[in-house]
Amino acid sequence: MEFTSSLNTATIFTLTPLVTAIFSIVIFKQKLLFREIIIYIVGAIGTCIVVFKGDMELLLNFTLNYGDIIFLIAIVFMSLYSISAKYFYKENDEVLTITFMTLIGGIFWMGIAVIVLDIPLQWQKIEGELFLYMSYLSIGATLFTVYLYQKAVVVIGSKKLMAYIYINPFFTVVILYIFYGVNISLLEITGVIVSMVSTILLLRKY
Amino acid sequence: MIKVINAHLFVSTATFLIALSFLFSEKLSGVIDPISLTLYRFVFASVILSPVIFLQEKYRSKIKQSFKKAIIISFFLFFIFHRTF
Repeated sequence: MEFTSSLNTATIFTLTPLVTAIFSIVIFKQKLLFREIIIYIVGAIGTCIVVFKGDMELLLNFTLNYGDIIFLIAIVFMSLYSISAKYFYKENDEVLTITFMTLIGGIFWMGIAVIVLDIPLQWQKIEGELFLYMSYLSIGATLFTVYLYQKAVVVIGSKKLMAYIYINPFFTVVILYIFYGVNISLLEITGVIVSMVSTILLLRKY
Repeated sequence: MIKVINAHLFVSTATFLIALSFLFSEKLSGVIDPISLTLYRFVFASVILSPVIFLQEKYRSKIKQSFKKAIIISFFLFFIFHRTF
């Protein structure tokens, strides 16, 4: 995020469901129908309409920068995360223990990175308001999401799990409206509806 | 059927939590190194969850069998969380 913007990352994020579907062909021998590809593209377009706040000029001027390339790699790993969470799960596993051990694994990989790259921790800088933000990211957006994703992926699979990314615009619009009082344009509402319909179509087997 | 409905509710909740997280991660971006921030995030979450795992036998007994797979799963998480700051 140091090298890019929320706008760009949110746009690139829309590729994750399609990337996951492609990996699912290889790993789980699942089929990817032509009509599904169309739904993925339509879902991505709907999401982009919201991301760009319906501003077509902004959308046409969209360019990738260094941070975006990094984020592209991140979405490949996000896809592989959902694939591996499904692939490695066995019936006698405890989801909560896997969640805990995944977090421990995260500490292991991050610890290696900190040592190898000689990165100063500087955790004392996380105080006051920043500590509250960090608490949310640690508990709400890490602990709960890892647990909820692990719990869900074993039931509905990686492809359907990632299809939920197209619901993101709806939540983003609601959050912006509630927290910042941002007015939502008709075009943005259209984008939200298009994204949500795409998700429903991708999930409808259930 | 209930399992499936619950699974969809879980993902919807997780999707909401993630949507909200972009607002906060942007505020933390640039404060300290992203790798250090992500390590903090994992340590914090693990500390919160550890009493539940260690105090209950049914969770504690599964630590060994979960270790290898969790290391692989977390490798992909490592990149996701690191790259979102």
